[in-house]
Amino acid sequence: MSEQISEMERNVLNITQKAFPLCSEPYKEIARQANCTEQDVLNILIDYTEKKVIKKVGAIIAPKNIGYKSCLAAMSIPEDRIEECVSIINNFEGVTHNYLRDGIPNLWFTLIEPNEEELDKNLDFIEKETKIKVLKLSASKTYKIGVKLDI
Amino acid sequence: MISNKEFEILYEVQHLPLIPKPFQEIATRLGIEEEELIRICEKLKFEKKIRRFGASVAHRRLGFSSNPMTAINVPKDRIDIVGEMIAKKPDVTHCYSRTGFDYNIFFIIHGKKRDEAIKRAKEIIEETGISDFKIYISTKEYKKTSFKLKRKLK
Repeated sequence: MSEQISEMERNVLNITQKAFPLCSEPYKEIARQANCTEQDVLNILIDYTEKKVIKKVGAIIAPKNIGYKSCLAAMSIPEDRIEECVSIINNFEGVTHNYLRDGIPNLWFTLIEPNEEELDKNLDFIEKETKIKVLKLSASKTYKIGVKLDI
Repeated sequence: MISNKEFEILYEVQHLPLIPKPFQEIATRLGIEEEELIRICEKLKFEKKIRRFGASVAHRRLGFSSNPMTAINVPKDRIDIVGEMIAKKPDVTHCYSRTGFDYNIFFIIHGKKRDEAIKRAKEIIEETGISDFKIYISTKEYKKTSFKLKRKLK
């Protein structure tokens, strides 16, 4: 896919991703920086949204800084029970990422909830439903967060 | 930590419409002035309640399909030094210190090829001088969504 991106598209996507201007006419400003027209910018963003490369354009909220609590959770699940356990876990809207990984534990997911009680309540529920221990790995410090890769 | 008004604004600006004046449209929806909306967005960004504005990109669709998670065991007095060193690497997308496990620093690399991403993880580990580590390679993605505010005030 990356091979098919034109230079103009690449510029627009990178600016929109990394340095979105907070002003009345942001797409016009992006156009000025990318040396194209506002309509070019809008067309590119609409096109890449339709292609599902862009998930959204907007504010990316830092849940922790508005009081939400999150953790990474890890479980060691026997292979024949993975699908069953995943469906229990993914049922929670607060589960944002869930990966099967090589090694033990083998299932790793992140959970975000409005407060610590809710977080623990949901982890407990998952543990009781699956009858498998859930390890709660709270972050004591964030050194980096934010996927902003060159397109 | 956050006022009802700010919460309403955060909810609305999660998605900006792709039209020439997106903030004007949202301000009208909220019944406030465009200028005030932009000013509050700047404040929320300054307070780090908004991490950033812009496009959120599906990296897997752009070929960044490999995301090994590396866990390393760092002596307590070196945690911050090592965490900050790892965070500086451009291909590291997440780096945290965590409690509740055998390893205390976790970082994630995004790469286009699995072997290259693993090689990069190993290079970074080598630079830290830590010998106790484990690389967890993802074999299946069961969920990957962005955090979204639900329309519900706390």
